[in-house]
Amino acid sequence: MKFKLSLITLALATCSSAAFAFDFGVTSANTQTSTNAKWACKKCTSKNSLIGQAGIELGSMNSDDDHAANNLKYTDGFAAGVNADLVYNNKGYRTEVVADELGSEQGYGAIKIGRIGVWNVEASFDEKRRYNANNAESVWLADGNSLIEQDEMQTQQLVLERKKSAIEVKLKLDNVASYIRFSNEDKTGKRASSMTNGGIETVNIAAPVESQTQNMAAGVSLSGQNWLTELSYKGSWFDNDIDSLDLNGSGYPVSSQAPDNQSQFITLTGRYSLSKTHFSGRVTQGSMTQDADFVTFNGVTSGQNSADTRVDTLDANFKVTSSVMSGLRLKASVDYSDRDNKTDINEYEQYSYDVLSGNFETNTRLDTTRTAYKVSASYSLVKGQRIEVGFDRIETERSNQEREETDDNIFWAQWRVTGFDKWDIRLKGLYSDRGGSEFLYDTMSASDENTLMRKYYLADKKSSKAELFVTHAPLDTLSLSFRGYYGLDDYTNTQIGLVESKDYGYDIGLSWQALQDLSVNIDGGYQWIDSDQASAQTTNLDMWQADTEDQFGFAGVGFNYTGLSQKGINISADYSYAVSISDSYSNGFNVLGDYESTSHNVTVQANYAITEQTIVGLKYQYAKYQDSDDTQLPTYYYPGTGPTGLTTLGVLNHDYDAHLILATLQYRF
Amino acid sequence: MKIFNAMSVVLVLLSGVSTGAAADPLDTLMKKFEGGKYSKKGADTCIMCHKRSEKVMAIFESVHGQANSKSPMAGLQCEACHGPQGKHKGKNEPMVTFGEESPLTAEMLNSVCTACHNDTSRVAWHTSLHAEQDVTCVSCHQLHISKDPVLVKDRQVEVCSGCHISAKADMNKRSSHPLKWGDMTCSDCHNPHGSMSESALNEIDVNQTCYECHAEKRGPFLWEHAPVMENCANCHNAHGSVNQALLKTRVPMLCKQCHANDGHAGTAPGDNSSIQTGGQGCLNCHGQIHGSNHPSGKAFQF
Repeated sequence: MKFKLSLITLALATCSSAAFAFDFGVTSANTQTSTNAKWACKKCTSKNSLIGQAGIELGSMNSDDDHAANNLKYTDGFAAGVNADLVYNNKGYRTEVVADELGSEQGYGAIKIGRIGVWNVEASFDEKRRYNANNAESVWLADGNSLIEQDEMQTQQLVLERKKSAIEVKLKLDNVASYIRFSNEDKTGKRASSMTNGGIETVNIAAPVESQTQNMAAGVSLSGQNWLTELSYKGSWFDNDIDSLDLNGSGYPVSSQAPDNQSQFITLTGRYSLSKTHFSGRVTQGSMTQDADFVTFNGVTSGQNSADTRVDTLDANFKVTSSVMSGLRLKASVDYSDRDNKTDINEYEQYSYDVLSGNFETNTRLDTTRTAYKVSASYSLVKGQRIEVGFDRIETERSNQEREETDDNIFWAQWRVTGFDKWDIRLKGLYSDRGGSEFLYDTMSASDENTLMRKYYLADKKSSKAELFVTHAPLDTLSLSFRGYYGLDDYTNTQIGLVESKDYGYDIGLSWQALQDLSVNIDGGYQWIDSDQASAQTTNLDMWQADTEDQFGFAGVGFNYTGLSQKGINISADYSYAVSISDSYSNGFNVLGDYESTSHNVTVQANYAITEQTIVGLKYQYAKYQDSDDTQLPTYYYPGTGPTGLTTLGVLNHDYDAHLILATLQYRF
Repeated sequence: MKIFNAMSVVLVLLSGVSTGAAADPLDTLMKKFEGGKYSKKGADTCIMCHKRSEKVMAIFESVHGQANSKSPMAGLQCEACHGPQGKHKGKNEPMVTFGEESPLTAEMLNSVCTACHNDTSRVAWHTSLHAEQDVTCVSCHQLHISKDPVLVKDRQVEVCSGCHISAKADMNKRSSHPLKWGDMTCSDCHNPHGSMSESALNEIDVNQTCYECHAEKRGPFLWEHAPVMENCANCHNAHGSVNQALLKTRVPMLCKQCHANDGHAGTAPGDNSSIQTGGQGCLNCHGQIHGSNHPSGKAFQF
């Protein structure tokens, strides 16, 4: 009987949704009787051709740590920025201007001009500063590629600045389209890094950063009603002015930094639709090269000048999806990716303590070939209920690694229910199993690794994941969401390495139009990530185990009140809190000490419309941020409280309150 | 009973090949569309009744509402997207609508947009996760507005994180890309219309996506670190982490998950008296962990 009922239900459901892929697109329209050529469209105009708003913000930032500027966008002192979001429509031409806190530490501006649907030119400028620490302390001060020892400790700022300019031109004719895009990014500043003598001495440094990256992309495409093809090119050039670093006069070996490099890719892409079946494919041939001069210990190139590294890539992707019958969609794809390292193999003398060791090592070519086959089906069980199942198989071959082949088999399913009034429920499950060839630690001459070690990205693994995502709208004015998830990665044959990892937690959200003029949003969640690992220095005789327990929680609440908008007043506020914790335990001890960050962020904003066009406002932002890392050490520490031979940059933790108050003046067009 | 079951099976099979048995108002809309009875005056006809709606009239501020261009307003005007007028005027026959109450399926709604928006950035739309999950174009995009919020840099994240709540949570972690404050957008890395790459990435794979902004990691280095070369996501979580530098696990624990040689790497994690722990951990000595171009840099020290 159950069989009978379910079949009838199935039949009715599929009948009721029989028109499953009707094309309502204008290209399929029956225009035989249309007289649109005569349509005048006399009333197709806007009151204004210039639309949007532009304004300035002026105020003051109060913070003793520039780290606050990562969020609040201003450093201590006077704050001023320009905001704009303008559109100008004129006889089919359109100009868009955007300024987002231009003048702040994270400003952005763009202008786009063009004829709608035919061509456009867009130029943009993006400026970002990322403040990591104000108080890095070192006697080593960068001067070009050298770090010069100073008589006294120098307090240095670890901040990275990116300035990116970009321009893009697009042209579209009836069936032909093309584009060209170019960008240049200058990156400057200082970052935390380290230099070693190759032995037991090491100096943490504020390393200078001075590099440029230029990216270019261009393509031309041809298209018809149900097909498209594009030939495109993409190139990238990286130029590093700091290609080496040396601690001047220290006797430390000169260190190489990121070499100048470039990449080029040519891609052929295509799409074809045949009724309810859609095919898409892409083939990309590429190469990454660098021929930077070698940096040697004394900074002078000798013998072979450069490695002339080259990696060729070939990627091919094919996908097809088809609505084979009412309610049933099938999908299949093949993804192929090949990385072929063409770098010459040579012997290079390695370093041991303060001399070249006489021990020669050859560089290895790391090649990979990855093929992923994926099939899935999505079926509408009854109206408002859909089940999806899929299987992925990923085959990866590697050269010169500890495991030459891995195979991943992944099964997944999702049940989605939208048929119940005011509910959307999704239940997902995944099981995957990774195996492969034998590990080669014992036969790889270049590897000193423990033969019991199983590197987690190569190791056998069984993964299980489940996720429930529910959204419920009990009222027209109220929407609730819940997401709960659990994932387990079990490295089944690993005795040394990452043994098990769990990732579980929940997220909740609430969106409530409490009153006609008052909307409230609340969200929050908590996540636990537990990683169990084991290791041994020699064999399993001196095994040790450690558990790393990461936790993350956040909560936010905000409202927007427009009840006084008749009087020109709008008020909104947001508050968010987040905590990140990581503890690593070995033999019951929290071996790495406290590692935690907490943040509170408050934004309160009120606007008042003096006239219909002129709006003044007041914006207040507060940030309280604290982080800790017990593994950071003062520059000078008592013997026994830190490792011998290490010179640090000091304790770079943050603990600050920041207040930003801005007066805004906005003009609406 | 057997006959009954057999009939049910036949019914199921028949339903699978049927294309016409749909209920009103969808059936009406399809017939109207096929009939092609467009209005006599185009948008001017629509505006006669709908001009009081600010939302309707806002289309003339948008890219879709510019009559002197290659926008819908230069062709079938309102009816380009909302279907032929038919007997809508007077008899209130339904038109194609795009809200939650629309009788059209997601695929049908999207067919309105993809008819014109057929370019390379949407080449994988039909095989995308969004299409698979019946996300409609108007789930993310607004048309009757001077500027679509999802195309505005500092408002896009709000749109995406409405559904991707785990990504929204990750933005609040100790280290994350600067998405929360609008300095980056989701579309800097992902193509929401789908792509031929994994996770709808803009570039051919994870690493090439990262190199767009982190070209110094590209190399190729003389001495490559295998997991780095293979996938940045082996060590980093791009959406955010409770650890510094988006690392999945803290240094030195992360390093020790792969390294247990006969020398120092296999030692039990110590407190700050260990050079593997204090300061920058393993990176105190192995500072070129993404790869080294130094002839003697096999161990990523120089």
